[in-house]
Amino acid sequence: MENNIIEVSNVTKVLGGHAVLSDINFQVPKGLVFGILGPNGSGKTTLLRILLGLITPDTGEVKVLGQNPVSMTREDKNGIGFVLEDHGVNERLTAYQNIDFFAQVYGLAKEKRRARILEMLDKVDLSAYIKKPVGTFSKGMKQRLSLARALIHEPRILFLDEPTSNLDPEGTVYIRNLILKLSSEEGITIYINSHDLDEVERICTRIVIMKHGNIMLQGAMADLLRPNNQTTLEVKLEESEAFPKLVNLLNTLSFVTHFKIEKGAAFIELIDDSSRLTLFNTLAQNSIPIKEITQIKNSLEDLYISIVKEEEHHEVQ
Amino acid sequence: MRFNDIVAVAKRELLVITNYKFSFLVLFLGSFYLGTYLSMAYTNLIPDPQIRMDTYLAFFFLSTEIACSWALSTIQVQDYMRQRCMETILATPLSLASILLGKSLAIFILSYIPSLLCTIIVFCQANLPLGLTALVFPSSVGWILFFISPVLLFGIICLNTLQLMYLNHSMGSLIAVFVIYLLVFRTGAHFSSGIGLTVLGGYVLGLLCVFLLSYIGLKFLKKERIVLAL
Repeated sequence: MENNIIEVSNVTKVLGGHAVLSDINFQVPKGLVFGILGPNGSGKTTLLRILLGLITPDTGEVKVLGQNPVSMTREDKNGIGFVLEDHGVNERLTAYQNIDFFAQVYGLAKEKRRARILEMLDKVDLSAYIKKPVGTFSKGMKQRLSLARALIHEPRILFLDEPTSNLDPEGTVYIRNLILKLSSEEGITIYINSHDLDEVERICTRIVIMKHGNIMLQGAMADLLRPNNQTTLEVKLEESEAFPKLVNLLNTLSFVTHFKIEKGAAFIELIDDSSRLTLFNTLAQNSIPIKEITQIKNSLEDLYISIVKEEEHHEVQ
Repeated sequence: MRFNDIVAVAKRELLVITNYKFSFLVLFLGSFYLGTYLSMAYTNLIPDPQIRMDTYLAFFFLSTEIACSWALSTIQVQDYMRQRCMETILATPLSLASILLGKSLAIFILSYIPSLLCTIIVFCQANLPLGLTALVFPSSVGWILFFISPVLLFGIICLNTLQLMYLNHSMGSLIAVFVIYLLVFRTGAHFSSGIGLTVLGGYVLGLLCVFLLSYIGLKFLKKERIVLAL
């Protein structure tokens, strides 16, 4: 439990007579990039607000850095950084003035403050815009400034709400790389709220999929993209005449759960990951002329759509 | 609640409000007009310079401050609605009391300065015709009002800001300011004969009201309420 930086147990929240969150349970271990995925209205933002101590759950318990976010001490709250969907920067003020306010709030000493602000603006490539009003910034620049603002006090966990929404492709890649760098180089645990499947698939190591205030699925990304722990391999051969021999061989192997020949390749499902080596050896021993072997992964999009559709199907029934 | 937090919030609010350059200039000049020309036009009918000054301090000093603070609050509301920074500020370690006091302090400073300048002008205007041979100062009650009015003003601004946080707009504040205004002024309806303890009583009652209401308002204010109203 000590390794978990966030613990959410049996959380429910009703707003306006409507259950926004129903019995939510999950943990976020230290150092991960954790993603909450769900369509609009799934309860992601309410959950984030609960984690930031802005609203209280009706039932259940939430712990961030081992503390209840509502009654958290100032020192513990200094361990939390966040960027909400609205950026939280005032467009009337300059980049420096915006960050300086938050640096003061987080108790950075006056003599260290300026150097730290300059360092953070440099980190997000905004050094040249220190004295420019934020109103003149593009969306991507505002998002980078918000990240600099959120990191000014060296938090241990960073909450990001839709970090790349409405950004151009260049801005999206920049923010994505910055998030990965923060996680890998500085060891910051990152919690991302998103409905961008591609973004989540690329950067998150663990995810929760939510719908209508319920958790539909959760787990490590690698496990979720390999249902039932199965491994699927795409095997291409040097000679197409060798396919009947391969089919005969595959029919005899107990660790092959299913296979099909399609578009000049064999798609082979193995019972588990460790059977891969056995398969390679068996193919070599039987002189199957292999051209290429690729491991097939399910995409997060397939998984997400299947969950959302399945739920809709149940609702209709 | 830390003093540094209040100062940080106040500094930010000062920067934001003064950044609305045109609106700020217009309301600053408007307050100056209200505090000097209008007050002089009404108090010039009073022959005794001390009663003139007392009358100014009892009624026009506070009027200028209140009008200016309310106009500044509208800039604050405008900024609050446009920038959508409140949720971010609420999620920091700042307490609600620090945010309230910091925001109120900024408006207090900006609305007190023009009123104070007007008071100096009125003081000169009362003394200049006498040739500055012997300076005329306000009466003791006038002095008390001079020192109480900033405190009353701060209380009114706190109440104003609280309503902004509760209701997310400034209509409520207009009603509250008007009620306090009536409470103070009703007691001094016959001001031409000079101010007395009844006016002072009105001020004290006003003070009690705003601070009690502010205290109750702050006690029941929750971050959740503000966030869900945004």
